[in-house]
Amino acid sequence: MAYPTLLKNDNGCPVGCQECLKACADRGSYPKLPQIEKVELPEENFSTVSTCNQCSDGDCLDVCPTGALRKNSAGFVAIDPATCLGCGLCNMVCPYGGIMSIENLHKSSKCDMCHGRETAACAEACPHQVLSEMKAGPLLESFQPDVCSPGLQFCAGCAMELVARVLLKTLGDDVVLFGAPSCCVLSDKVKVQYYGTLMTNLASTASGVSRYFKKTGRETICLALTGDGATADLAFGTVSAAAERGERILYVCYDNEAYMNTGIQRIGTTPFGAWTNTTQVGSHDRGKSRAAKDVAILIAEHGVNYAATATLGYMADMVEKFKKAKEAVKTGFAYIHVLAPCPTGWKMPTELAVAVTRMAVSVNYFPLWEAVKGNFAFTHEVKDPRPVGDYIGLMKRFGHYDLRQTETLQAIVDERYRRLKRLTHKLQ
Amino acid sequence: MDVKVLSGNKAAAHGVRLARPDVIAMYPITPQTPLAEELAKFHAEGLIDAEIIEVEGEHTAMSAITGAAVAGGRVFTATSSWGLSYMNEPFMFCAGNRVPAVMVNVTRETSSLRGVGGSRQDIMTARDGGWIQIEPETCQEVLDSVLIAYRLSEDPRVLLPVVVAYDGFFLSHQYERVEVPDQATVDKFLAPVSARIRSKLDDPRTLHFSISLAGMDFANYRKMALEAMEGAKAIHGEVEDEFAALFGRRYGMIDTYRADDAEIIYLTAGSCSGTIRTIVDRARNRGHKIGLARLRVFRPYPREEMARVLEGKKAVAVIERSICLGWNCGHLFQEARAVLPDVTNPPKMVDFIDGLSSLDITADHLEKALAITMAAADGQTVKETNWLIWE
Repeated sequence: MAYPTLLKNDNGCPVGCQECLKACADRGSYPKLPQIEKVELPEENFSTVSTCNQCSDGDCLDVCPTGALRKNSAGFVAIDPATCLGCGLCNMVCPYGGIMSIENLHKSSKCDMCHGRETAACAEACPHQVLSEMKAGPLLESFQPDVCSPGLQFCAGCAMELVARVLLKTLGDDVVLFGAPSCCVLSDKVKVQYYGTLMTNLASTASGVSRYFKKTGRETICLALTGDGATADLAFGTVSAAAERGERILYVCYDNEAYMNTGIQRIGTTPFGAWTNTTQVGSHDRGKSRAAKDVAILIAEHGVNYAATATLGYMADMVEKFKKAKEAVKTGFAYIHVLAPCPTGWKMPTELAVAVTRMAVSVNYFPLWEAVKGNFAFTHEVKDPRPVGDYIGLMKRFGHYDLRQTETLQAIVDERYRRLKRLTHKLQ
Repeated sequence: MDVKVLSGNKAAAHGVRLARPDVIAMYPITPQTPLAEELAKFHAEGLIDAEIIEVEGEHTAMSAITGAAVAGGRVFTATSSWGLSYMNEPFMFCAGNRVPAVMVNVTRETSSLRGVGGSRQDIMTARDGGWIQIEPETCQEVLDSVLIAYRLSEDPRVLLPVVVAYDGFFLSHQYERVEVPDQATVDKFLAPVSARIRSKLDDPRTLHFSISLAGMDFANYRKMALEAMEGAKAIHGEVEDEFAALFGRRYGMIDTYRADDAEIIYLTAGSCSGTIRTIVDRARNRGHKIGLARLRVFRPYPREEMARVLEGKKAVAVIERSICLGWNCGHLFQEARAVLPDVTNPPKMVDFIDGLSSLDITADHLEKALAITMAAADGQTVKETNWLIWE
């Protein structure tokens, strides 16, 4: 089944443009009013369009006193005009401004994705490619029930909840989840079996459990989910050894590029020049003096069953990789390296967590690739990479950067990309 | 039952084979290496049906067996010296979480890179790790102790890991006559713990295994661990009764030799007890009432039994292979002294350091120790701590 939704991108919705509203009003169904809204702040040169997200479990569905709102079989939220009282509660609880009130009729109405048309009229009419229609079906269909508790404790703007939720939704609940002391300790907040280890022995402990499962013929996935500290620095040897032994472990490293749980200290994956509490900025030092360790490539080069990079801005890509890893771990080691922004430690606005990862990909700072038994391939190749300055400008951890540091980071990024590109070339 | 001529390491390997472990994690280190090699050979020949994890270091070895034990498996690892130091973190974690596991430590020096020599220094540094510690005297006892270790460790009333620590080189590499029990009898001996429901990760209600106990919960858990360790003394007795009934051998937590009517006793641990038995016989032939007490189970420390052994003795010669820095003596001396308030007429105690770094504890040294201790018993003033190589 396809679950259609309207998608907005950041191409720039110009102030004063009304094309989508006109097309919506003229879409040929009742009421002859736009079911989307334009939000404009001309003095800020800000303009966007608010639409219904066709949420899978929206509050509008719960709040309707007559049950007039339903998620219908076509995958969008519909209002039955016969039972709608026009009370407006759904309008009030929707955080996206997706529901309209038809004042003279005392009814509510909303976008029905132009049901019956190939593409929604607004998306078809938008001259700036701001609006498009997205079919979320394949992604959602692969999801299993959510095993995480409704709320998980993270800092404001941290996207780890999303990573953890999507990861477990993709893998299902036949999982033993291994975690070490870190920001993302799920322990009793997930409905899967949880094994808390020391920071130093996550891969080693999972090796022991996985071998016992192997001996007793149990297929349960041994899933390690931990940060860059336990992976790249003090337990790197244990991860490398488990990879070499081909242990049946699905290892997901969420890389926020510093020891964030202890309060933002330098680590092997901290990028060149970044400020942390142990790579300070002053008259003598200008942040971290060394480039980051490229852990994902190092693990992939063990020739493991599956290794990949993934990040939030490319959710379909990430889910696809979780699915491949789930298959690969049946016979050996699988590794996913997730770039997970830390607004607290990266010193950036909390709402940028997803956008910053998209920018990290588009400047080639964090290329998306996968490697099956050491054979590398890009999963999203950037045609015209933007300058690295577009990425570092989003975060104050790079706020002290001078031109020379920017050039150095650009050179590191370029060189690493060239190296990766060489890795993806197959010998005939 | 088979009679073989085995080194301590090979005897341990047979003990492990007979216990049918599920997961073994091994990393070589002198003088344990032949044990790792023997187990790999058993595996290659299909004599053990265990997953062997060829780990990259002792830290992972201990972590992996802890994981496998939590998942429900019977496990084994072995190490020595720096390996024991390196695994200290998961070693403490394993006991702290009361995970049943069995390991061997082939004892060795740790204080120098060239300290590839026997001593009891390594295992003494681990004495507060929360593990039950058994220290055999002979290769036969090495094998027997491995089997007893599984019964103790996996007993639901105990659930503490057990380390069998035997003397590097003196036991690990010396060959002796060893009776290797048959599989059926060993299976019978281990049946009470083999049959119990082992896996917590199979139980959907038990979803959480973590270190996150804190405050009152933590204190309660530690109190339970302390009580389990105390309770292990009585359970060790029960296990030994069953072992003796099946195999005809019994060692006790303190193994004594001609000690009941003795006026002066040697107190020691490990392989040098064999030499001391000869010295005791010689002294008895000369008309002196001399005996031996060998401390076999070091943790839990058999306080009550030690008090009974020391009662009525005039003097004690403690012979030891480790030094307790900051106390100017060895560990056996330090801990036996702590029992003296429980003795009505405490004996004089004299400490003798010997046999560090694989140096021999010779008959000559032991005679010297006896002479000094007899002088102390006669009321002469002697040094409290003596180094036998320079006496």
